Amino acid sequence: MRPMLNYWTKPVSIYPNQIADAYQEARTKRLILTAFLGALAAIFQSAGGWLPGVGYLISPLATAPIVICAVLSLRTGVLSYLLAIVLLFLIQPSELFIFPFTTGLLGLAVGVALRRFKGRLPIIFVSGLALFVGILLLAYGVDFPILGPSVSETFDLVRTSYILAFCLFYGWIWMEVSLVLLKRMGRI
Amino acid sequence: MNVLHALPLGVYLPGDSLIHRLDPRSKLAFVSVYLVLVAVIDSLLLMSIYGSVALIVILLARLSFAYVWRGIKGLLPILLLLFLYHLVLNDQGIQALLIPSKLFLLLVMITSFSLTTSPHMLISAVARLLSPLRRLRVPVGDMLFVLEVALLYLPLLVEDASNVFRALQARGADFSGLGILRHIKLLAPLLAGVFVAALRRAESLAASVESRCFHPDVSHSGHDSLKQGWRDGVVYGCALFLVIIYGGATY
Repeated sequence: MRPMLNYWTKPVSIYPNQIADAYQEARTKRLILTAFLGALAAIFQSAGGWLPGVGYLISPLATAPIVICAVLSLRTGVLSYLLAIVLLFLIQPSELFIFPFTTGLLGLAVGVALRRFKGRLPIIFVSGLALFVGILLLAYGVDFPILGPSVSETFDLVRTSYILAFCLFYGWIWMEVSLVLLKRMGRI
Repeated sequence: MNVLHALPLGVYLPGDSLIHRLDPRSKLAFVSVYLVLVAVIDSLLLMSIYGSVALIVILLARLSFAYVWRGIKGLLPILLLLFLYHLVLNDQGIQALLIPSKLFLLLVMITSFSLTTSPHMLISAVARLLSPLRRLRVPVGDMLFVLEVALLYLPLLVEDASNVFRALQARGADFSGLGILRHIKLLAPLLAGVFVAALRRAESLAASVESRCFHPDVSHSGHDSLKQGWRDGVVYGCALFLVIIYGGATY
């Protein structure tokens, strides 16, 4: 019981703050890294279009570069997010509907939450909520059939609860993946 | 597998058509108006008019339909699914045509824009359009620098990813089989390898540009090659005409 409790109450690793501090003064390096990571986000997101099969498994990885940029600072996070959108506009317009509302938005939320909060619960909550809002905006605001053609037409509370549960679960997965990535980056 | 050849990098097709010669700001204005109008229309008549406009743009730009198709094919399964759902399950013939057509036309216009506008012209247009934001302390210089670096290094980053991918394959990784968990295990080293390569490249490029006295706050590139002419006036007029058509048909 105790390790389980520790998992949820203990602060997450110190790597996010360490990495942000390492890049605090080096503005040129931070900008170049933002450019590279924004470009990587666009490459990963567009993989579904140019690599049939395995490309659909690479697409969700577009969240990771945005997380790292958002950990550096909110400004670099937003910059890489906007950059990835512009690049997708140029290389794979069909992904323009998905990235800003799902993978990109989740990356921003996870990165900002990792810097702002120490416990796992608020990080998961913020990440899941951002993805949830993004999916609802895409499905009901833009009328894009991200959850299938019938979902955009009718609002169902039970179905929406399932979507929220999925978003929280997915946010939890991405928080753990991001912590592993940041730990690896911290060692370099 | 040659990833570099598969990615539609640099979709811009150099040409000397009327659309190619237009100022990117007028093209952006036209495309923005078009996208908003297509998103809100709900009549087949208007859809066919706006569809004809997209066709005229493609013909004026002298674009190959195969290239336009490359930008659209990613959404084809969703378009087909939408069409079948509304036609068979919902029994709504008009919706079955309208909803996929909207997405289709949005993509056709965005793809036509990117095929006829070079990245350099796009950066120049963005620089001009964002310049008033400098007064509000928006980091426009940073945005342009980041966009320029990304466009310049995109092919190299793809090559890095391709090299990591090939190295994994050489060490026995098999991406052809089924199994999501197995794929995730294979993708983790891919992600880490690509990130490490990007970090190293960023380190060396930063050292290189700083050694040449680069400073992010100093304007370092010219974005003044844009000039609007009478053709751009016609484009603004066409955008206004599209709005009038929509207003006339709706109210």
